[in-house]
Amino acid sequence: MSVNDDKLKVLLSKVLAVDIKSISDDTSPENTESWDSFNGLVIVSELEAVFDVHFSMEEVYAVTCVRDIRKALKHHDVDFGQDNTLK
Amino acid sequence: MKRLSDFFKETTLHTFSDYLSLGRRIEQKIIVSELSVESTLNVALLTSSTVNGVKEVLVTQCSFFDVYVNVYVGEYGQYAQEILNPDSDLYASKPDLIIFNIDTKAIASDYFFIPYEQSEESRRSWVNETVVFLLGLVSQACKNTSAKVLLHNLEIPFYSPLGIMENKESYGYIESLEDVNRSLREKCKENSQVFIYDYNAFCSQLGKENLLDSKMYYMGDVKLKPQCIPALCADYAKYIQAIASRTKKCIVLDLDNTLWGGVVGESGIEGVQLGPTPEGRSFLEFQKYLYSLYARGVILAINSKNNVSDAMEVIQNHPHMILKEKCFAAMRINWDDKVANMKSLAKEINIDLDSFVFFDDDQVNREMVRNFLPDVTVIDLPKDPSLYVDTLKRLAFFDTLSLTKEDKNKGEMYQENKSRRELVQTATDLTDYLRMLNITVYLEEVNKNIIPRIAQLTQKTNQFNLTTRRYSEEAISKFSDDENFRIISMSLKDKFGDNGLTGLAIIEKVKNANNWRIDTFLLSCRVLGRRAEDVLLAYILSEAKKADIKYVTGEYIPSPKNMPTKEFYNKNGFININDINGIEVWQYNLENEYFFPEFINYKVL
Repeated sequence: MSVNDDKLKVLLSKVLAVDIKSISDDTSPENTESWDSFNGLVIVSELEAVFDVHFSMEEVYAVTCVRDIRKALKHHDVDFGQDNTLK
Repeated sequence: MKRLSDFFKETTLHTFSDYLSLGRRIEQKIIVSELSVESTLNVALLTSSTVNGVKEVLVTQCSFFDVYVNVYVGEYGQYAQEILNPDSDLYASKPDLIIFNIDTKAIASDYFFIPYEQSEESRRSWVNETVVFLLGLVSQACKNTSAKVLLHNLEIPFYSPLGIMENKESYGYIESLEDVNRSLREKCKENSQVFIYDYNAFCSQLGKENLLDSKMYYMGDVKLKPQCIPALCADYAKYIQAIASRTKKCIVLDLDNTLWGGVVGESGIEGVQLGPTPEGRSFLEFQKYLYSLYARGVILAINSKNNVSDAMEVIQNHPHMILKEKCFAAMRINWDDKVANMKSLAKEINIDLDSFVFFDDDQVNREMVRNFLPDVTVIDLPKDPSLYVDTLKRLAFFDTLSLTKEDKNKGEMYQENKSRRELVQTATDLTDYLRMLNITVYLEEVNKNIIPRIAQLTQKTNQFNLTTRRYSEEAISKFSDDENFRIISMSLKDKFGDNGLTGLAIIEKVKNANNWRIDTFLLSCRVLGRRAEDVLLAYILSEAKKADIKYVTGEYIPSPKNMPTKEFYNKNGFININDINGIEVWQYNLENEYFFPEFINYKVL
């Protein structure tokens, strides 16, 4: 697992107050109670601060799960190594 | 069981989510009673925008000084309704502190965007209306609670539609906002319940361009980026620390590579770095900032491994030494270990170890003090001395809710105490010594001018405090207006100087009981050992006798810090008549004779 995978998981587990092991690519607002609209915004803001990127509003609206976050980050040249799925 | 501050110390706090997550963890532990909390304060936060996250981060920031904050967050944008309705959830939350975080955009509405559509006259009336509105809310809150109120001033925008011509307007938009701030500050200066939080200064400190994330603002009305929330809460925590009486009193300093660069024992006075050179300026300015704290009443002391003669040579004779010998209430310059020195400093200055903040460039010394004296706050001085001043400026340990004459003269008073200790050595016995001091005690009934000091003494005095009842200025005001209560203050002067107002008693004239009850009896540690307390007690007894009262009762409520006063009533002829829930009740029968100490003069003002 890449360093950025780790960073992403740690960030999500802190903001969403969930066990780091429970986070997968399919984690989403639908299956995670704490992923409400405010925490959604905090995730965006923290991702921008931690990975030094800036998302457009369109990109934010396009996110429906963790897989989409990784896609958006990769689009901003954040490296997740060869493997594209969160372990 | 773990203390709150243990969680703070054990956690790495870099990002907003670190603060958020620790705050939640602490809240969870409180719910399941897995944490022992010494002190809880209720804080209400009223806002005009989304402030999610502030609650948890504030819990984190206050855990540093072992205070748990129970935060009530008002309904978004409903602050006026909550304040005006005495039955609102705001008041039901029984706040100790109410924070009004109302932002410029919300209060100015269209005026924020299109200020020059209005005439100069309407700009002026907008200023008046805004000030009246905000102060109206504040005064309602003050009427409905005794909570302290913290009102944000307005962030002054850096943008104006007039651009570079803004300052040429006879009464410009920016000027009008500055006028609101000026007026709020002026009008709240005399009100001890209300504090203006300089939010504009906070915004400048962090950089106004960095505060707002437009995307979050448009999507969720978030007007402060989450990454800025820890800094905002650190500022709020300064007020909470002061309300909870967690203020520190004394900075203990190392010498080599702390107050000056280099090791004096090796290089001599000529070799130390201190003065207007690139290497010396860090230390010079560090000393200037320390001096400014000394001038506001923070006590300074030295704990250094050095030869006394080497160190004193620099302190007394170096041309750029700002902190002269008189600035230090006590000094330990020797080869003993720093833990032992710290304990003996606490004894000499007569304050508790938890009032100390320790500065030392040496990590080993810091760790030793941290491990053996966990009550002492140890500062991790950066390796680079050019960062010392920044480290000092960030410390928020010394804030108080009022700054009295006694605070400002504190440094001088401790210096006078040093002279008193020297006099002890020439006296034959205690009575002889006290006689040589030529003490005069001044007794005065409470009046408006001394209420802040009276309240402060009840909040800060731990050792010679028989009941440790903490009272706000508002509570003291109530006592002073109540004919069933008397508050007698005590000031003390001797041949070395004026110690100011340093003792007090709050007495309840118990209705139909032929009895006066001493609710509070305390003496600042600064004047202990001079038997001034005996004068105050004898005066109370004499006043009661004059009023034809038969008994005076006093209480002793044990606390971890007031053991030395346990025998006070016993030694003064009171009889223990009852023990209720750990409170000892002592009684004096006024048929018995009482005596003022013969060598102390006293005057009733």
